[in-house]
Amino acid sequence: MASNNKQKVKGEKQQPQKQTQNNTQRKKESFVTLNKGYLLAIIYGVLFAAFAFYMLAIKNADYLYAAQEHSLFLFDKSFFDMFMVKPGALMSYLGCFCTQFFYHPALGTSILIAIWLVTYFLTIKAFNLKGMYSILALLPIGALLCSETILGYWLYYNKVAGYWFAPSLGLMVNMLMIWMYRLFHKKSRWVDYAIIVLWCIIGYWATGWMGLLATLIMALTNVTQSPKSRIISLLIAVACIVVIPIIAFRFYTQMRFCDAWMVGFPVFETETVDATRPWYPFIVLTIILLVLGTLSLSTEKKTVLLKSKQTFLFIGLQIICLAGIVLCELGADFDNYNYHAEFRIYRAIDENRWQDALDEVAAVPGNPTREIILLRDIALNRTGKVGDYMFKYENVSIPPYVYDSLDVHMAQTNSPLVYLNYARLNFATRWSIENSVEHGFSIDSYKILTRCALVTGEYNLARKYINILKKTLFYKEWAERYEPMIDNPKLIEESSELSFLTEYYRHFHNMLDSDEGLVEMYLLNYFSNTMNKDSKQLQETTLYFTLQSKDIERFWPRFFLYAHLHPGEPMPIHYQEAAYLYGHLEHQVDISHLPFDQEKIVNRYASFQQTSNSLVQKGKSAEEVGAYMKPMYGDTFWWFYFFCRGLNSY
Amino acid sequence: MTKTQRITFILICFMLLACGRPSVPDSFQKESREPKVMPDYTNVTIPANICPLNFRVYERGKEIAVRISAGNLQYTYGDGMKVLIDEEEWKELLMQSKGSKMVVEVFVNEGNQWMAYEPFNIYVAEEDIDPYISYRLIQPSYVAYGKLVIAQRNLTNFEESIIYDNTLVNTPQQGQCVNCHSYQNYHTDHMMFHMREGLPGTMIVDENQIKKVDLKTEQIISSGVYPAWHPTQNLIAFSTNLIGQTFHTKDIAKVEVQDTESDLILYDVAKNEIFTISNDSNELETFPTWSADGNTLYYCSAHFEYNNDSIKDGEIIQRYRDLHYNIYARDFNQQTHDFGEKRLVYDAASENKSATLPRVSPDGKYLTFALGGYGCFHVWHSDADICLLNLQTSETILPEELNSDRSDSYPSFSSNSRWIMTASRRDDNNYTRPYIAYFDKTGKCHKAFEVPQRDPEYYTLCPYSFNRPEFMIESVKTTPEQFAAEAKKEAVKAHYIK
Repeated sequence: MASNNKQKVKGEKQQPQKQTQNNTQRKKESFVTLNKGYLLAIIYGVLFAAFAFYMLAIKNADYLYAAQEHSLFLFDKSFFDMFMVKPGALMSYLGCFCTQFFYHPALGTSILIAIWLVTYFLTIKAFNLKGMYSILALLPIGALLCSETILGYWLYYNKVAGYWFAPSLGLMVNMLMIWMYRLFHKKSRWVDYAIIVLWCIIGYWATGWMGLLATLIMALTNVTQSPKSRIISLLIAVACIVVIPIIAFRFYTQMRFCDAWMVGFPVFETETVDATRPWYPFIVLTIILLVLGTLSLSTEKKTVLLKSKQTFLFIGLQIICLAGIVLCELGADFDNYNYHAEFRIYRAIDENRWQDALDEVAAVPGNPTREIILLRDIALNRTGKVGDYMFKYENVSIPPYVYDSLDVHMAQTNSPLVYLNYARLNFATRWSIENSVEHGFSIDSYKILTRCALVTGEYNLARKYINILKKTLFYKEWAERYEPMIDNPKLIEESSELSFLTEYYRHFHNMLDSDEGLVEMYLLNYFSNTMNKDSKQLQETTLYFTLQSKDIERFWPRFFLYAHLHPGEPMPIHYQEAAYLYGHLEHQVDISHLPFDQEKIVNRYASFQQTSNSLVQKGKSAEEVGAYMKPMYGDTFWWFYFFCRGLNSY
Repeated sequence: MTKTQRITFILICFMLLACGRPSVPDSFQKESREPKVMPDYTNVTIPANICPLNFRVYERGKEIAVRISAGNLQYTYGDGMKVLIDEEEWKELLMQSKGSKMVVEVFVNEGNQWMAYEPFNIYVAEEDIDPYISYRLIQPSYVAYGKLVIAQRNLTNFEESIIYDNTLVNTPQQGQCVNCHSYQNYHTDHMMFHMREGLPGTMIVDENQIKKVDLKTEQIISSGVYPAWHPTQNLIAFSTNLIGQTFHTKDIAKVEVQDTESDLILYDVAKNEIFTISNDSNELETFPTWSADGNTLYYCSAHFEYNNDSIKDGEIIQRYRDLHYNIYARDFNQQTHDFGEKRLVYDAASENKSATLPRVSPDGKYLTFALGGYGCFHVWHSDADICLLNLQTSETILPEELNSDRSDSYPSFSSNSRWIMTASRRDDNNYTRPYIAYFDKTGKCHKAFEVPQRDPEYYTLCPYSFNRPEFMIESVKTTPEQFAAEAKKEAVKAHYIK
């Protein structure tokens, strides 16, 4: 259509003077329209960029940081070679490259937005969207924005390398090609056909399924040729789309035949769950592109419509598109508080910022997940506050929120860090590797594995992981911090982070065991059943796990051992609470000689008993009594013992 | 010369200089030790048909110049800290040094000064090596497996190709484990491997025919596991094993793989029939292997009597250090397929050791096996070493040149008996790498070398273990797609005869 208009203008130049004046007037109008069109497009782009920046860099900064920690990019040829085993892998490779910039969420977001803005303008060009129709070019990148924040706990089960950038890069490349095709397809229909075939091959190799989609769109947008040549274009495109993946299958030994046409399409599946929700943005994206390709709208005609007082169409279209993008993104955004809190707490623990982790735990508005509670106890343990504070925080937990039937297991989420901090290093290693085998190696797993290898004394293994991390962009410094420990293991003992782990590790005994994938239950059983008098640190850990497990029999020997190992030191309040409670419950241990805190233990327990008895006498149920007493006694072991039922461990 | 010609000439000179070899420095300071290089190729013995031994120098410095001399040939290399040798030049060097040695001089530029390290030698044996090896690439995980590949590598160059890749048939709902690739007498027209979990069965190539069979029958405890092709007949001896694994809570061995029960069977490929060889309930028989003439079957067996039959798993976990495997042999009648009485070949239990994974040299003179403190899965046992038993004198040696302070297991001989390949964890204790040592006619092992890669840093970054490295004298012709197509078919049930 654009070329038809240009031909018209050329013809008009040869008309008499009057017509030339009309022409000049029309040119002025179209210049104004054009400027207005670009102005609108720029305004939409700026609005979209601002909204995307808010949703990603501000609202999801913790998630994006976690995303790059769950990704990996190495500046090495063999890393590149490992990718190039499937069509579309180039985008995954580049996607991984870009994902590392989420180390600084604002930087990564800015790069992503820049890609989207380029894509937006290429989409305008590719589909010739002018004036008010330029807003339609926001829809594809709007769908991609939704895909960024829709994952939720699928983040931990994501097998799509470079997920956060690969589709955006793929779309940008394909929009560029469609636009180039539109520029070229006025030349000759043979050039048209050649481009279609060529792009189907190159586009498929480089961008996978999106290259096939672009091939189809190219054929659909071929509106200037005769109907016959358009049909031939379509037939060629369809034939290429059918045949080229089949040919590719013969060359790639790591691709299932049935996946050949969808290679690179983000799929989220586990053994039991086939998630559909993360697909939605990509399905919407596909539909939008096909519709735009089919309509191949031209704005000039519509500008006339606008002048014909059809302003409502203009306003309506803008509102629908803008509101649609905003509402879809708000709907897609996984803004569960615990989910985000887990990322922040995890990072704080990983960086040994124990108080920051505790501050984050304290800020959780409702009931936390067990993972938050486990991470909290790690931070309390590291700060030496566990015996005084573990029940001051919320202990009633809820399962992680999921929007489908995804079965979240701690073993597959953050168990390596948990195991690392309790120096159960073979388990930390095991789950780091198992999860990496399933979902790809990541920065996070290499960081865990490095520390495990340093503590177990496998220095050559640590060197391997450090060498790998030194090939990253943002973790070179991290690796170099640990590197001197390989040749000088004394530095491990001088490191507050690792010496805490070696203290545990030294005092463990070897045995054959398995956690059966139940991280928290394993830790509860292991530490509750362990006795150690040689390490104060390990001994206290065994004691506080008996509180968590409410195991009276195992509590007493560990309680007295604690007292023996800490002569002259104040007994932490929760240990006193447990001893006082168990002494009164079972009367098997004489506690009359123990110096309990009169105010915080003796008087308060009397009051606790009195309140609960009176409520029970009034016929209140256990749940009602627990709920009533929580504001007064929710910070005690007593309340935890009687009213906190069911760990909700996963 | 015109101005354009002058510019062109300068540009060409500049490009030639940029692509040129590094030159050995005129002045340098001497360092009285050999340089640290990875892989460690200092003073190794290699075959004359091996690909270039590219390596990286791990000394303080930014650039290197390495001069390799053989006879009157000299080439210098240096790419940053890497030595990447031209394949054609390497062939020339090998030709010159066959039966002799090449000398490698390493110079490192430390910034202000060049350092010259003590030269080291690379000895080149007279005997060639089999041109191919194959291995399973597996991440050293325990339970999970995603992508598993059986690959073949041409040792005379750097080409690696896929024999089978489970991603061709894997689904998120059902992954597939592939393992135990095995060949008849180093040839690939008779080969096999197992598939577990998804689309299970044993894939067998019998001449030009591919078939997938189900070796599990009611009479045997499991499907066939560890295989051994008879060198001449269309027979495969298998162990049948009930395998479990548990985790060390502290030991860097990390995982313990154990059999609660295991027996031996013989599978007739042509008739699709199974015969029991041995199924003593107090013996854990496993890892069969044939002598080169096919008249003897060697295997490992641990005597283990359960105190309580109802909790076998628990008991074997408790008593895991009590498992000591010996090596036994039974004569085999190739006409009747009858086996003779078992005889003890190597008594590891009496030394409180455990011998596994036996292999006989094709010249029939030596038996090699992995020797560790206990158990059967020595790939996870740091104390495991390769042992050589002289079958004529019954003398055993633990060659230092072949072994390391980490796990060395899965030994095998090349078809000319002059090269021994092992799966070693000496690099980092976690990732298994193929190491090859020259085993000369006098029965002496020479320092082992790691299978070379184009990029000397390949092993540092490679997240896969090289599992079950096997020599082959030819490549596998069946394509991964052909295997995948067969894998999707229903397995043919084998018949148990007796």
